[in-house]
Amino acid sequence: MGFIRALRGEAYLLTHRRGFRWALIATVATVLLHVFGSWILLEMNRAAGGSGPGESGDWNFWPRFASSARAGLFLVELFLVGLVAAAFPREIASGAIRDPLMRGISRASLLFARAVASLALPLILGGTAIGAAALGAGLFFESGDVMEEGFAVFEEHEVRKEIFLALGHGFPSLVALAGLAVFVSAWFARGAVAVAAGLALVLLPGVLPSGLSSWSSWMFTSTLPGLGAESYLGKAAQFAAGYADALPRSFDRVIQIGWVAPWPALLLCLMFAILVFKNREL
Amino acid sequence: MADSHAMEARGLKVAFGGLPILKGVDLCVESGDLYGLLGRNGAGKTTALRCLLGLLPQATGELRVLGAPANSIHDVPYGLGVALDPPGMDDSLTVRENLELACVRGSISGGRGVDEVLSLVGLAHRAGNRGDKLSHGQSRRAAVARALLGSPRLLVMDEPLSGLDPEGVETLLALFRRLSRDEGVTIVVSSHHLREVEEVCTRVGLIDGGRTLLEGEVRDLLEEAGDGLELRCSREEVATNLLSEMTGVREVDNLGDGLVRARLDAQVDLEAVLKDLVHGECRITSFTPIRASLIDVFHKAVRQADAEAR
Repeated sequence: MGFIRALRGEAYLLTHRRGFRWALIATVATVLLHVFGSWILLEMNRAAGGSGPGESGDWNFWPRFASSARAGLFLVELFLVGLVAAAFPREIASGAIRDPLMRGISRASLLFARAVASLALPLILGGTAIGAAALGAGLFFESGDVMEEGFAVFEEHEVRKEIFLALGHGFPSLVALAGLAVFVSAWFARGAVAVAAGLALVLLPGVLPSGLSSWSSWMFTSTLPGLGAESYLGKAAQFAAGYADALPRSFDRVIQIGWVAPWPALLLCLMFAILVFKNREL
Repeated sequence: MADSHAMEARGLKVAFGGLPILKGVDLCVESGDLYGLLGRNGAGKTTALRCLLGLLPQATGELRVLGAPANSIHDVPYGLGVALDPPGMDDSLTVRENLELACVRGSISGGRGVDEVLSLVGLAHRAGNRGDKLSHGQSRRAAVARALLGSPRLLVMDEPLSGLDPEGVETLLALFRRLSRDEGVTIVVSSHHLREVEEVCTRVGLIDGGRTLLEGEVRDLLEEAGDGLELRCSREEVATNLLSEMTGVREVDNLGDGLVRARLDAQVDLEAVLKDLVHGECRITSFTPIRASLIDVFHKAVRQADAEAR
């Protein structure tokens, strides 16, 4: 089975290429620095007469965990586009793409194996970011009900539910982003152009003219947990910090679209990728 | 197409952006051949190989490799070893990792392993170096090593000798000879190192201007070209006339300044030719027999093609 062999090759590349290892290290480092930076700022604020633990929602574990996880996922999304989108153009330019095709692996098998490995990337990198955020926030902050001036604004289970939902909500769009990165990787001849095109598509919803902005949530990139202009995780982090109006009822529509819109986008990206890659000069 | 053909192209055409590069290439590599694909720079050797290996989907013509159509090259899983130009080493992996990756993708467990092929090409001491730390010649060797993994029935090498030091050239030529002779591996080598090709190849094909100019057994082509003779004398007109009248002399060129060249049949007695020239009072100062070579065959075919094109 050419596909299985291609997939094993992709697994080998994931575990042996330095880029992926550096991405993991950078993600963990960024998340831990984010948590540590937040703690330093809050401590400085307290030293200047500001609120301390139990007096402000900012001191709670959950908002710190959510915002650090978002910072990590922001980086994960950049890595996802950077690592995946540049891969095929680089392999085509160096000729490395030819060897697997001479070993009983068809172009379709190679592309689908790359797609599967790329879909696994957000799980691994995203999981690492979330794990590091939990570890870092756990080291510096206490969990519990979200307090404001000694009163519980939200109960812990409400906040936790909202953050877990937001993390789950980011998953479809992260997976679709991997599909998009595979598509631009198969399409463009130069790695830099492929990465730029991928990033442009990610950032597009944020720069749409106001007339089109109501449609932007249909672009799955708007609901990306890190880079998305309408990130549910971003709103959930604000909510967890005690901002009761961070999740308005009007946002429900965006969340509903966010569960659905990435899947057809993923399918389209993979279909176009295979069409383009089948006819590439290698 | 016959089963004995390891690789065959009939009417191969390809264009890039509307510009025709190959305008009708016909090649036939028999099983067991050590085949040299020759041509000037830009003649279309690499493009022809890429088409045959299914890497250029826009190519037209009847193209088959080990019985499979070029666009289904993945149907010949374990019989093919390829080292094209560029060498295609992943720069972020070491040489050993590049080869291990090929083993994983090719599910190679038997035949030649990573250590063996690295030793064969003289690259064992560089196994831990990353692709971007290799010289051009070392990258070539690594690509050849990767092509040798397992037990390929057909090896396709694009300019494998380019950038190699003399020792490297010798190593690879000896390796090709041994694989062909002892293991019956079919080897296709594209090159413009004609002396080396002549030394090892049994058959050659010559591409120029996107077309096949000639194809055949090296022995036959050399015989057809005939051995030569170069003489210097002070009466070149007399020598030219005398040589033209001798039997077994195919063509005579009076190049001026006392220099005369002639092409001879294989059975011509050089001693008798020299004796006749001395008796004819040509006043010979030097008499040099020249063995027919692929270089002559190449130049003649290319000159002919250029003349026809004009």
